[in-house]
Amino acid sequence: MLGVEIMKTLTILLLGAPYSSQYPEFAIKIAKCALDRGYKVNMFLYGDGVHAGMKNQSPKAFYNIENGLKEIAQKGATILSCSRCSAARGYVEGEFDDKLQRYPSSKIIDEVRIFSLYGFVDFIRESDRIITFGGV
Amino acid sequence: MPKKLLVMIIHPPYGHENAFAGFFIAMASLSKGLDTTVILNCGGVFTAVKGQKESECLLSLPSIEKQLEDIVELGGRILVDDTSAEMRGIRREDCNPGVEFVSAEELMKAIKEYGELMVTL
Amino acid sequence: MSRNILILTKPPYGCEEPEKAMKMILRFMDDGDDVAIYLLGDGVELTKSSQKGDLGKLLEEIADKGGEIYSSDEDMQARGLYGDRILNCVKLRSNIFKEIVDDAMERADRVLSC
Repeated sequence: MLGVEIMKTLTILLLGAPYSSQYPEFAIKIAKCALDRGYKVNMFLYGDGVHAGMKNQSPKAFYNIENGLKEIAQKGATILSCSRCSAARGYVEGEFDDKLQRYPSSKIIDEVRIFSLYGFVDFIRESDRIITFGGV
Repeated sequence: MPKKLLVMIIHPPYGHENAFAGFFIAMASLSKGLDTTVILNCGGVFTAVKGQKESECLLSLPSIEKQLEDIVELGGRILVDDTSAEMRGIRREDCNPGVEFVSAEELMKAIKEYGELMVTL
Repeated sequence: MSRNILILTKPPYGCEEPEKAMKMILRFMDDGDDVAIYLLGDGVELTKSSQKGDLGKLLEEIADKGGEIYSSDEDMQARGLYGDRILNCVKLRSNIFKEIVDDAMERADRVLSC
């Protein structure tokens, strides 16, 4: 098909929790640049990275990670959060919802879907590059 | 040709969850048919030590050794950076026979061959 | 010949990873590859001049051999790193995220993180 460009895909793996380090901010800023350039962007929250999806974040001086995630989701990024890590940290509130394809949580923003690690493997399969941020 | 994934683990197990987290990724990736290589670098080399005792009265953490064996069984390669190991006093005989000790040069070649998609924990 | 980029966010001397990553970068260069290092967050501490430790020299060696060294201007300004406090081989970038994305997606064959 002439004139059809296959969109490249970037996946970002975020291991760091917001505010204790700069990593979530880096992840969001990279995601924004990639989306503005027309790439497809996936983000997987893993380990302490799952905290990034919490509702009602109110940092007094830092860049608001909750707003950052909402912004990139609005621009088209797909954001999944590891179900095992989320459950361990108290975010999962019920069984997997087949229709919505997510685990329920009243504490996590809607733009982040709690999903199994296989979601990350699916991201990997469609990615051209992966960038990891965080991890102590 | 299956897609390749490289998982580089630089943290030792138990003190932080990173090593477990990396192994979970490797196992999920292998079970979905991706060609998966794990590199144990820096403190991550401790993951390869054999005879890790799993017990309820210890740390209440599952042993990572079983996961390592599962990864090898599923066809994943586990490469141990020999410099990192030596520095820490870890010898081949201390490690699971399923892992491969590699030189820095060999590690570089492995990253070039398998590192198109890479995660670091 | 291929291209390898390293996104370095960890401070030098605090742990062994930055040194190991930089030595790996040198190995890629010896193998005939192109390399670039993007310094971000605490990784910008590597740009400090007058280091008694070896890592400043290692960075200069990478640059002398043709490696590209970019550093986040924002992170450097925040840490008081500018002027003669920094090594000459470093190229400051005010929108480093855009550059990382362009490089990772269009030019580099591999992206290493440290």
